[in-house]
Amino acid sequence: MQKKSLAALTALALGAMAGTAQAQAPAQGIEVKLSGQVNRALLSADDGVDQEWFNVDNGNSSTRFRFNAEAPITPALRAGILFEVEYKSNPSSDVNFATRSISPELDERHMDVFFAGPWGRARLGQGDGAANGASEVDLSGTSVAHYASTGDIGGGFEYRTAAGALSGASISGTISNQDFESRYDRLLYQTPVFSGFMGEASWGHKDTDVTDLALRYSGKIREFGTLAAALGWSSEDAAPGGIDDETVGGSVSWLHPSGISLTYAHTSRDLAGRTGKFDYFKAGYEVGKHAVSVDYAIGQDQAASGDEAKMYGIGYVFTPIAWAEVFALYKLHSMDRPGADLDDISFFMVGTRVKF
Amino acid sequence: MRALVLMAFLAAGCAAEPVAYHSGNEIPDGPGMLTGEKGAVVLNADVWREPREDATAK
Repeated sequence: MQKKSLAALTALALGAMAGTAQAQAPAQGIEVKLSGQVNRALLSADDGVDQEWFNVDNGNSSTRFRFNAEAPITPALRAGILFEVEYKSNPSSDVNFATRSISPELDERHMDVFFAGPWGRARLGQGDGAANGASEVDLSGTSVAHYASTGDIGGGFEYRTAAGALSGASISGTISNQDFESRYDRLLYQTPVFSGFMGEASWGHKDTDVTDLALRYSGKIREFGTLAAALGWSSEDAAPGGIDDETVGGSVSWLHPSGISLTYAHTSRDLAGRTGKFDYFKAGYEVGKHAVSVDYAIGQDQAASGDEAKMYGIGYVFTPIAWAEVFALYKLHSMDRPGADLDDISFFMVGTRVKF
Repeated sequence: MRALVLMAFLAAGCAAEPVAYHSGNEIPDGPGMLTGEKGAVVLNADVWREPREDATAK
């Protein structure tokens, strides 16, 4: 049986990656899928001194493609691969007035192998840490326009002083949602789903060892609607002379059958001599092909003690057809730093995401 | 905040039917412009294993 399993897995990997298995594939039921999306937008930024338009890749959900395959190894064991990369020309999270054009590079997102059975699922390779996205649960239907990770749009811009000089305080540095350890090379275990609950744990490394834990929930409660939530914890071992990078937090989102939704997220991260905090509130309404929402975020002590960065936004998503969305966003960022007088930065974005 | 989320977890766990959560920041579920209803180009072993008829057997 072991030989058969090994042969099936080998065929799966070779067939999926090279597309050459063809008639030689020995296993039953191997399924290979190729999918992706293009997500582009026009972004206007105004920092009180400069105003420019940018042609960007929407960092809320970047242009990417995915290749995944799955097959049974035994009646109780399935195996598969996930290969996903992104290709972002002028990422909206990175452009600014000094760097309006950024050449695309093929960046890794997921490159892993998984095994799944009644005991749960194990994944090995590059991919989500257990807690990745735990601060980003959102049922509003407007995530492609705006969500908790506010720095994905305009994160590379710096606030200007009253004299018009760049302050060194960027949006991404002062109001990050601190979403744990993102993706890295890891071993991940996911429990089976029990009444909507699922636990996850991962261990791997970047430059130092990283550990993530998460508890997730999603369920539908009749008249109450749909509820999704996640709690996460992550720790990245300290580099010499530093402190462990530890983050705890979560998010909860509720969608009422009327289309009204409410979302809240909070994270807290240990930084040298202070604790970086993030809070996010969102209220939305979805009806038919339309979804609209307003949000508010506040980041405290993230770049320096005493910092308080705020964001107010309104987003709209129109889904004229199942494979395309048109979205618009307006948001305003402000920043309070002791001893500094910094100008607000406003953004307007309009664009479309097309799944192919 | 943690207490709020825990309360939400506990309340939800009582009488809910599980649903799969799909992040709006990932590639959407559902149809694709080029791939139609399946939303992906799908290959399967049945395609790969088209029977090879032995012409000499006829």
